Amino acid sequence: MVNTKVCTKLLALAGFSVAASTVMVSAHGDMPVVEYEKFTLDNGLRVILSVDTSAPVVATFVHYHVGSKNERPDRTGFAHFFEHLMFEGTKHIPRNTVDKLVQGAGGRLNAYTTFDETGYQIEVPKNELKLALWIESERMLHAVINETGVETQRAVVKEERKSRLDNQPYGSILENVAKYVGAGTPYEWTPIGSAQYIDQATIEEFRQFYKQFYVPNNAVLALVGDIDIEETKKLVKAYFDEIPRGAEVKQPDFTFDIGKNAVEEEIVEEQTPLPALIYAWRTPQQSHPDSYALQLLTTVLAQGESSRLYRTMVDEKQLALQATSFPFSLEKGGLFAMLAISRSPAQSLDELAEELDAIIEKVRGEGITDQEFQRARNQIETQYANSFNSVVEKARALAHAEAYYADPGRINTEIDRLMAVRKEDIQRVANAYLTTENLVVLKYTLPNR
Amino acid sequence: MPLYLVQHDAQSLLTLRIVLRSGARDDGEFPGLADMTCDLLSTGAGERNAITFARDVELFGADLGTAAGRDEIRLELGVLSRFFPSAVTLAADMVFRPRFAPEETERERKLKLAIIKQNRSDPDWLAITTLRKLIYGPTPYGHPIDGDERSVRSITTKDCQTFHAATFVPDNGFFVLAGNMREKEAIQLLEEKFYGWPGSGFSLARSPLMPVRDRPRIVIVHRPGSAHNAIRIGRLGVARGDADFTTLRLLNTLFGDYFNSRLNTLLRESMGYTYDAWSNMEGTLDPGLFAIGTSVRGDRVGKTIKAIFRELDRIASEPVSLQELDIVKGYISGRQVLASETPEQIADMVTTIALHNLPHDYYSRTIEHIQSLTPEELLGVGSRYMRSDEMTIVVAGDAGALQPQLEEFGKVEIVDSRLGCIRPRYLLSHHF
Repeated sequence: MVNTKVCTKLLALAGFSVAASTVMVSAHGDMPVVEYEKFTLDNGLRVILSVDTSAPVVATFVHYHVGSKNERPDRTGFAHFFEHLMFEGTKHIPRNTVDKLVQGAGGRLNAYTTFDETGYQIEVPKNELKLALWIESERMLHAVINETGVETQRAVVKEERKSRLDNQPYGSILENVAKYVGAGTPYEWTPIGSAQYIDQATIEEFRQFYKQFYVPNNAVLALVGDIDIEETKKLVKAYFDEIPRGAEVKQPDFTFDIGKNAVEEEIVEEQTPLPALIYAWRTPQQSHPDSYALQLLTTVLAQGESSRLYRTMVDEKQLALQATSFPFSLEKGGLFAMLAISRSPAQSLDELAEELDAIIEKVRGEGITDQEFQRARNQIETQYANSFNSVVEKARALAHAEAYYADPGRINTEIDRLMAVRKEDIQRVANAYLTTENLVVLKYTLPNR
Repeated sequence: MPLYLVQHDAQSLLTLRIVLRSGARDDGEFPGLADMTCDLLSTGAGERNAITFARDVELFGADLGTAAGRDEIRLELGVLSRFFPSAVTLAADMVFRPRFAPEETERERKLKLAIIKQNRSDPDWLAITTLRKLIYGPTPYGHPIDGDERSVRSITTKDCQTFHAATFVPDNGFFVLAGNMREKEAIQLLEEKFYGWPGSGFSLARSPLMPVRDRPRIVIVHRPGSAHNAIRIGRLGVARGDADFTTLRLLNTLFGDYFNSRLNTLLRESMGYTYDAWSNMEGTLDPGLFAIGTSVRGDRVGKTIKAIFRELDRIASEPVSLQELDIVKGYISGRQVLASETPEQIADMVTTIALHNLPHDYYSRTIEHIQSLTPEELLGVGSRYMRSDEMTIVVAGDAGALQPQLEEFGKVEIVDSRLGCIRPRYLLSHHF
């Protein structure tokens, strides 16, 4: 147990003297190395337990290996729709009470859907661990999928799409980037999907999807917090052992070739306030060694005000309101994108393009400086030190590492892989992936008003 | 200047926060002044210009910045503990020796104007900004923290320098240091770096601000062809120090501030009208804004507002059930546990306690208070603060479709996204 103490001092500033000290509250934090225990139930559910006594709290995270890439092209949005349905209720949990149970116990819960996975997290005071396990086992064993729930969530998901995408400036960026960078693969549509497919689908199709993917052999349960390992093992068995194993889940088999994929598209939307330019390239999957060098590259290009994109485009030349870069690492492929939003409606996108081209050319031709390299490493180390601050973040990271690498311990060595990237690797990956043959250009221009 | 230490030895990071008891509420006639001043502090200090300053901060992998809130300014440095002694020098430079180079003011000004322009295309921003303006008028809580075009165009470097000189003084704030440190060394280091910080005889000659006491209004912010409609409904709430604050906070949670709230259950789960519906209560030094928000399709706006009004009237006239009350009590108490996991979270609690001059055991007292509240006490507060006929309504969307639906609730005013013609009808009093 790590102690945190809070006390009050008066600093001896300008004649003040050091004064009283009062202990007020206590709290605790993360460990440098995350230790864990892993076991597999007979039904194939992989379980990871990790003790963290920082606070009297426990987090459960259930990772289902199903995301938008597991969907049929004519049934996009299914995985995300399911994330919503799983809050509707189960055989023993009446409709609209999952949240009440958790929140009434002083906990919180959330869920998300990506291209590769659907994740469910619950955090509760430690004496409510059974509640979290019961809810997750109910959801895995017998979620109720009926007309009422489906109708309600159809409406909610449509509203989510409207408020998050259709009505937001540049809300369609991810959809458009995916469409062109992921063309020809299951990464060409996004988790939110298209509303008409959810409308077209029958109840039977939803039940089939549940039966196919929400099975223990397609899931990882991670549990982190103030727990007793042996007792928790017994509890996990009591709640999950009886859930029957499902048919083997086949993940989509495709390659994400880095080839000639160049496209240029103009996008005109009513809500676009200022012209914007997006460059995006295909990059390798998250397990590929180059994905680490690409992370450092994006740090050099876009993290902070001394980064190349900010310094040149926002600060010195004042062409852009915002200029950033982000890598997207997925199970079967990745993307690297740059985004610049014009400073004014009249600002030509050609000027922004010229600048972006020059920045890319420079990093490809000359690489990065020693100082930039050092800065990127320190920034990455700081991020890493920040990343396991809470039990739920730890649980998510452990489940993720188990699901994709069959090795939860990988979370302790991820920093080593980042620190092993050499300066010349960064120039190398820029040359390998940020090519004109592989470049997708999206131009958000202003509507005629 | 007081220093609060949050010692936490299993972390490799250290966070230093300097909190000053001045904020956007002190902008005076220049909305956005505190915010602009804060932004300029990062654009060069001591021997470094904007570029070399950012470069040297980031070389340590550190985050160093200043931000203005309504009641306070926070300077925050987050860095790996081993770099703290070097990075803290840069923080001290920001406090003592900011450059305030005029060319940086121009750069920031342009950037801010572009951001404000971008905000004006965001229906949520338009709706909440309008609501705030209607409730507070030209009083210190009435404008967006980052100001408006008129003001941002007119703020000078000199204004920012003066604001900095008046507010960045040791008798106007406190330090919070949280994370992995050796206590003695840390104190010694801060004393060394901040030694000789001159006081100013600064005193907070501040009368409580008196917002507009106006009849509720109904305003449409016209966005031609808007695909979606942002609804904001609200009124004046209470100050954090008010005797009703904790009771109202519990009521607000029950009503709209957690997933199972009445509002979200009705509009999202039962009616399927929206992705989320919420209510929020600010915990500011003077009475903050109580606001309800959601987004719905154009033809459902009238029905949505009716549903929200029915829920408000229910809160204002019927006692809540013990069962529902227990769920909310459990939720708030548990949240408290979950919110004290990291040193940064503890630092936040310490900041609130110090800023509002609250007792050291404020958080545990609040939980005890919440556990003791009865349906009758809640009804008393609900009937005073949550009546639908005292709420102002703002909707950002296409006026063509909205106007007939809103006229059911009273006289409708329509403005465009510049919000230029929004003025409170009269002011009772305004001291500042």
